[in-house]
Amino acid sequence: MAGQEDPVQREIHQDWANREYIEVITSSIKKIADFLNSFDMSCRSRLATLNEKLTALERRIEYIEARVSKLHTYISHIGSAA
Amino acid sequence: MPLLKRNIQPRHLCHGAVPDGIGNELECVTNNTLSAIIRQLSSLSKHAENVFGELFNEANTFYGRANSLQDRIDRLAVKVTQLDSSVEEVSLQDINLRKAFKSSTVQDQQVLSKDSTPSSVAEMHNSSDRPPPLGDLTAYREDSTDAMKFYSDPSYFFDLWKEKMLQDTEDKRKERRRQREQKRCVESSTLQREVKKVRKARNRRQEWNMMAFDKELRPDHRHPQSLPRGASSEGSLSPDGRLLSVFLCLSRPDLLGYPVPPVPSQAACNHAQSRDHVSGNAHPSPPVEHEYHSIDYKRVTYAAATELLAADRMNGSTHPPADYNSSLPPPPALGSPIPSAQTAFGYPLVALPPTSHNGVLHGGPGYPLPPVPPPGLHMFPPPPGPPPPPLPPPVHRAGHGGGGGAETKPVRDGRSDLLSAIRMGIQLKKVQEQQEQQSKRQPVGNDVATILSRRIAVEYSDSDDDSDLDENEWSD
Repeated sequence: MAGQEDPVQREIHQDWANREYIEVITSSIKKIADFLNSFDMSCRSRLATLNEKLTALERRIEYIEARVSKLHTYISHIGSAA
Repeated sequence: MPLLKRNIQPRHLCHGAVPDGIGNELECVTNNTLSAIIRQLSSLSKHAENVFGELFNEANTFYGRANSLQDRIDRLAVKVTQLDSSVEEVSLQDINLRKAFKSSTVQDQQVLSKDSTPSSVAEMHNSSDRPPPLGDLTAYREDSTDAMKFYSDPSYFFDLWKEKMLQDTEDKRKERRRQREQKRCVESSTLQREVKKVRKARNRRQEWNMMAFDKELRPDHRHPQSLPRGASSEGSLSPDGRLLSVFLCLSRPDLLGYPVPPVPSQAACNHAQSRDHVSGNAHPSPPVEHEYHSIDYKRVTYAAATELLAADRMNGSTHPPADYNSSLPPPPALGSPIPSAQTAFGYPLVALPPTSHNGVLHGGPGYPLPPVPPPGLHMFPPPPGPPPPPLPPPVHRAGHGGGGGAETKPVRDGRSDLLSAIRMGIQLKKVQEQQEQQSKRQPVGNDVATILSRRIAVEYSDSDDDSDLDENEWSD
């Protein structure tokens, strides 16, 4: 009886060890997938705020350029008006 | 439920079947699982590379923008130091000549279109099942719509909204013109208004009845792009409310913008003519088409009426009109065996050859009539009539013409002249309408911004005038 059980037991024991090994690997794969998802999301949100700031800056610069340029404004001389 | 962008491919690790004849099955399963893990890792790395690539590209564009911004700032700084307020410029007149500053607001359009799908989503889309090749059926259609559109039309909502917008702008323009005319002559305008109100009320009823059918099954099908019409609450909203609703829910179905297919008018004349047709058509051959005219749900089984019909058919007299005026709707027209076969069932079927012609000739889909009983007529078991496949009426007519008795032939010639005249009239209308529609397709930019801007322009210019909401309220 013991002789019969031993190889089977060993096999089953080995199988459990294998399964634990596989389980460790698959849970790490899931962690990697979760990390990738959250990284993606956080990166996108940061890039979006960056985008907003950039657009705001661009509009301000456009306005300032318009103010400074001679096309859109006039520069009156110091002194009394006509 | 979040949309799956990337799928790690070997989903189940140990679901593969263990081949037979293996000694140590446990080890086999373990090895299979480990190899599936390796495949999963490879697909995971592919997806990770994709993710980082997208983020990198976006960050790159921002880098470019930030760089150009930096350059502009530097140039501005230099320019500002060079500014000298003592420099003289022309004074007051030039102020008005200067171009006013307007910041360049770029509106994002086509944000979520086929072109802008990320590569992973596009890959998933490509690997999925293709729709059936319905495009091949387009060659057999009478109107020129793509057959695939009836199965799945990606541009459906946009087209719907666009039609609504264009129609609204047209309506606004017409209103304004009307108002101008009213200001000139008051009397004629009131008359016009009343007539319009009446027409709208009738149309409403017809439209409700039409809506009972599916888009395809409607007998009168005017528009090649058959946009379904839902209940219109358009008139009840103020212009601003309407605009808001446009912004908020684009897919709200619209009803009234359209001139409804002249079902009422045609039905009226068909009523008059089909009665004459009843006596004319006495064929032994089985009826091929029946059209359930949705207008009157009351036409149900009147055994006495059917006997009358049969009697009239025998006589070949045009007596029926008097009887029909009171209760019965346009009597069935095709084939005498119908009443005889179905007096047992009572005869709820109504076949109107003229309207059936309408349905085929102008309408959209080549399948004229639905062998689907409208909800009101549930009293009879589907008679053997409608199941026979609906053939095109000209063919049918030819067949029946050959099979008809001699006595019916001379009568039919008069009727067939009428019929052909009606057909010609209808065809003329169809061509005219198409031409009108094509002419109306002015160079409209196919984007949301131009359409909306046009609509808003009309709206605001109209609200400056005294926009009349009474008419719209009436229509609801």
